[in-house]
Amino acid sequence: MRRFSYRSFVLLSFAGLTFAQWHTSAIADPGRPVGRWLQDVSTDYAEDGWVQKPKFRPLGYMRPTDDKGWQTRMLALRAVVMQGKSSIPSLLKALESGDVSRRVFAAQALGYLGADVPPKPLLRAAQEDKLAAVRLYAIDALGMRGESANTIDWMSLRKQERNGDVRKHIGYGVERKDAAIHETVIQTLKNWNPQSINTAVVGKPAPDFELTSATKQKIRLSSFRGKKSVVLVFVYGDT
Amino acid sequence: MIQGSNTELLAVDPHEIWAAESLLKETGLTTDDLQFPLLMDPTQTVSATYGVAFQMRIHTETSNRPATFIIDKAGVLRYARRAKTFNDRPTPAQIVRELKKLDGK
Repeated sequence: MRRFSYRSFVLLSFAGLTFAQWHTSAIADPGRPVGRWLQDVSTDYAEDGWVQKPKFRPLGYMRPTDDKGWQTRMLALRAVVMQGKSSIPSLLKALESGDVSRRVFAAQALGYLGADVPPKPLLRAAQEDKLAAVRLYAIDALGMRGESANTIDWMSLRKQERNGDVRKHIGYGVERKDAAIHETVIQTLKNWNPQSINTAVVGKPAPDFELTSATKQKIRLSSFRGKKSVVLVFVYGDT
Repeated sequence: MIQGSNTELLAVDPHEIWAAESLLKETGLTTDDLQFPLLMDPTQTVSATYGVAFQMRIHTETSNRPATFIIDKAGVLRYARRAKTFNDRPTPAQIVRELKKLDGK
């Protein structure tokens, strides 16, 4: 028993170190091919890695608390958005992959590439993909292109869709009319420092940030320094 | 209860502004009805910095893990609670207790 725990300890430390090294080198390489990122997302952030407490069905699937795949997912999203247009062909190919985690990632990432993405493959994914998450992000991506108000038949998409969440996003597509994904949103992702990932540690200075509020006020965390303490709550819309 | 002259409450949400407006509209509210700033983080950059991005699948979306952090007046992070399930959060009383600890009361 003792020997087993020692061995697991060594193995886990080794895995941790390998991840840390990969992590640093991948961040440092701006030209890392999209295909490599897709491979990493597929390995580190597999769809079957979601866990849930049966009590909360159908809500709230979580990654395990020690999961590091989300970091891969975040860094991959930033990387493909940084590479811009040139990543579109690989992402479109991934959208037809048999691997669901690649398809979910590709559908979401294509949204941030806006009007340069051809609508047809997105429409096909929105209508035909077996996984609701892929359809939902394909719907979002169609809206984020910006010129979909007249070119997409949202009503027939809605009629055909059985998943309530996806139908809600079809509603968003109608509501956003011609409003493409805002350039400031893309810039925020591009300007984000990937070295700052997961750097909030109790006892250390809180990482600073500036975000725009729902009433379009710009708020910077450090503006409260010396004046007020801050309770910072990460929510999800209706929770 | 938490918001006051000594404490600011900030909420971070992983949606674009108009999606938040749409969610509020469903409950008959507008963004002006919010009692605290609702900060929009649609690309989850701040969520990632605070270690919670892309960790919850809810309403078919890949969202941030719910979490609560407390930062003291000096800008130092003093409390962090990252949720284990979607509705795992500190009670207002727990938050008030943590805030009192900051002042050494």
